Amino acid sequence: MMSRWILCLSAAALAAVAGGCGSPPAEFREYATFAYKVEQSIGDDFKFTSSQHENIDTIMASLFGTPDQPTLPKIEIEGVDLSEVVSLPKLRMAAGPVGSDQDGRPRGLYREHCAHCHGITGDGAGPTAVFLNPYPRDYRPGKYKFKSTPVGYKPTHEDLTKILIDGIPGTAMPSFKLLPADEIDALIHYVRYLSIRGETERALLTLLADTDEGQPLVDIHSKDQDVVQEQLAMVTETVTQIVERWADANKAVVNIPPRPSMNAEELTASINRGRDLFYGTIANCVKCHGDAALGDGQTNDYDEWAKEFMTGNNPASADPYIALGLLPPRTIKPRNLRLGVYRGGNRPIDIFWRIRLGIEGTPMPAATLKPEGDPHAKGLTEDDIWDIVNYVQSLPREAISNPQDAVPHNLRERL
Amino acid sequence: MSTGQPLPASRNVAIAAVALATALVLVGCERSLAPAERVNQADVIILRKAFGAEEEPTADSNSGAAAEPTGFGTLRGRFTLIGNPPERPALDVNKEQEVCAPGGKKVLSEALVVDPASGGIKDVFVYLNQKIPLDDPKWVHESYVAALNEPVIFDQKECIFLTHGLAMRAGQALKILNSDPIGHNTNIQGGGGAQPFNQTVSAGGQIFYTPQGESASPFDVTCSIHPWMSAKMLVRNSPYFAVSKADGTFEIANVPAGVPLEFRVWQEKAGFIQKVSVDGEFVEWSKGKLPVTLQPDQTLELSVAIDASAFSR
Repeated sequence: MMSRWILCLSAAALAAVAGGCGSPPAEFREYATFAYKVEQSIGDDFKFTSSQHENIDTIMASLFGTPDQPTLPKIEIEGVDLSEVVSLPKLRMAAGPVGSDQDGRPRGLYREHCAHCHGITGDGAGPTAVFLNPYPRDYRPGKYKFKSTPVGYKPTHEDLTKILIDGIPGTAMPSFKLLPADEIDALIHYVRYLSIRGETERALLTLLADTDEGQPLVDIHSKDQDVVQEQLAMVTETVTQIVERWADANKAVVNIPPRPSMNAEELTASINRGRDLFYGTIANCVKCHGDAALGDGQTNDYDEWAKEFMTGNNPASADPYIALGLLPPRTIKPRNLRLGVYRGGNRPIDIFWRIRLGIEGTPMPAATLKPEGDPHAKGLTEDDIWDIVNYVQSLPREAISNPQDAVPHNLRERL
Repeated sequence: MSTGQPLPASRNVAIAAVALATALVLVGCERSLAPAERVNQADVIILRKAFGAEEEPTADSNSGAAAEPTGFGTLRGRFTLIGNPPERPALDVNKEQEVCAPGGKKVLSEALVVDPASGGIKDVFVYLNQKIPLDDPKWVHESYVAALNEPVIFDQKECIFLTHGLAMRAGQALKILNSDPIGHNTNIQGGGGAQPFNQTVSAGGQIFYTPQGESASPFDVTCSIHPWMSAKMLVRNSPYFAVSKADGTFEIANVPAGVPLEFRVWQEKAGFIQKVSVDGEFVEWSKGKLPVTLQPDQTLELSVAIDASAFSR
C-alpha cells in the first residue's frame, strides 16, 4: 500500500517538475516599487487599497492595452504628428508573441530581441537581468543616458537608433546592426511606448495619492458625470504632457561645433591643455575619475534608478523595494578612461556630448559653458571641451595604460 | 511488493525523490516580482470609450463657477518640537577636508534641525496644494508678479548648501553660486514637472537652473563630488509657499481670502506631517493636508507642535 502511495506521489511530483513553472502569460506588471514609494511619501501606515490598484491598472489597460495588443491613448498635440512619437502599426510589429503575419512580416520583435533582459513591462527586470552588470535599463522612469539632448530632456530617435545599432560597449547590450531598418524603427517606437506607459503609471500613482482615502482616480461608475469628465480630462492632460516631452526631443538637441582639425603638434598642445583642464577646478574631472583617470575617484555613489528607492545612499534602505522587484542596488563607477571603452560611443562627438551635457541619471554633471562677453565668468569654452576630448582619447594610448602592440585584427595562432 | 515487506532502500530513494521534487515545486522558478496588473476588463471598455468620447471639452466644466477670492490675508505660524530633539549625526566628510571641514570641524546632518532655545523646527515646507489661475490678480497678488523675474539664490560654502530647504516658483530661475575655492556640481533630482539638472559649478562660479514645471513634494539636491552635501527643494507654480526659519516660524503673505484653501506641510525627516497639535489642540492632517480659509485682511497665526516621534523615519 505504502509503496503504491509513494509511486503515485513521485509520479505527480515529477510531472509537476517536468511541467515546470512555465512562462507566465504575457502581461504588464504593476509598478509596485513606485507605488510603495508614493505610499511611503504619504506616511508609514498609508497603503493604497486593492480596489485603487485595480482602478489604476484598469485605466492603464484602457490607455495602453496589453503586451499582445497595445493601444494608444487618444490625445492631440498641436503641430505634432503623434505617429512620429509612437505609431500603432510599428508597435504591432514589435508587440505580441514572436512570429510573423500572413504576409511574412515579423511580429513580436520586442519579445524576440529585448524582453529577456528588459522585461515584458520594460522594467529592466527580465529573467536574465539579475545576472547582468550593469543591469538592463528600466524604461519606465523615461530617463536615458546616452543622447544629444540635455539632462531632463528625452533622447531623439537618432540617439536611440545609435544605441540599437552600436550596442553599448562594456555592457550586455549588444548591437542590432543586422536587423533591417524598419525593425529597428519598430523597436524604438515600442521602447518609447513602454517609457510613456511607465511615466504615465508613475504620474497616475502620484495623482492617486492626492485623492480622498480609498477613492479611485477615475470613478467611471459615478453618477456625477461632471466629476467623471474632470477626472478623465486630468488623466488625458497627464498623458499629453508626457508625450509632449517626447515630441519635443528634437528641439532640445545641442549642436556641437565641428572638431577643430589639427596637425600632430597642435594635437599635442590640445592634449596638454586638456590634461590641465582635467585636473583643474572648472572641469573637475579628476574628482570622480581619479588621479590616474582609472575611475577610482568617487566610487560609493548610486544611479538615479536605484537612488530614488534609497535614503541617504544606504543600500539597506532599498530592501522593501527589492522585495517588490527592484534589483539590488550596486554602486555606480566612474568610467576608467584608460580602457578606451566608452559606453555612449567612441566617436569624438560622443565623448563631447557626454562632457558637455552630462549623463542623465548618473553623478556625471554637464559642463558649465563660459557665457559669451563676460571675461570674468567661469566655465569652459567649446574648444576647451574638444581639448578634454582629445586628452581623454589619448589616455588609453599612454604607456601607463599598458597598451598592446599593434597586431592585425583576428590574428590568432591556430593549431 | 505485496508481501508487506518492501525493500527499504528503494523506499528511501522514492521518499527522497518525492521530497526533492516537492521542494522544487514549492520553491518555484521565480524571484520576487511585482504583481501582475489587476485589470477589470469590463471597465477597460467603458473607459476606452470615455477617453475617446472626450474630444470636445464639456461646455459646463467651468460653469460650476468655483468661488472667487474676496481679498487677501496672511498665514503665519511656528513649528515646535514636543520632546527631546534627536542628536544630529555627524556627516562623513571624506574629501578635501581643508575646505569642507576646516580645522577638523564636525559637519552635522541638517535632516532635522531644532532650535535649542525655542524648540523651533527649521526647514518645514508649507505650500498651497491646489491649482489656482495664475494670471488672475484675484488669485495671485500683485506683490508676487515682479518677484517672478528675480532669480532665487542658492549658494554653497565649506561644502554645505547654505539653503537646506529651498522653495521657488516654476517660472523663476535659480542662480547657483559656489563660494568655495574648489569645484562642485549641483545635481537636482527634479520630479513631476520640475526638470532634473546636473551641472558643474566651478570655484567662485555661477550657473542657472529653470525648473519649468512644479513638483508635488520636495526632492533632493546633491553634489556628486561631495556626497554628504544635501538640500531639499520644492518647485511650485503658485507663489504660496514658505519654509520655516531656524526659530520654526514661517509666513505667507497676501494669500487669497474668502475661498477654502488646502496647504500641505512637509519635513525631510517626517515626510508629510499628519499628527500635530495646533494651539494646544490635537489635530490630524490627513496626508499632511492643512485646510485654511482666510477672511480678507485676516492674519491667521498657527502654533503647531509636533511630537518628536513623528521624526523617527
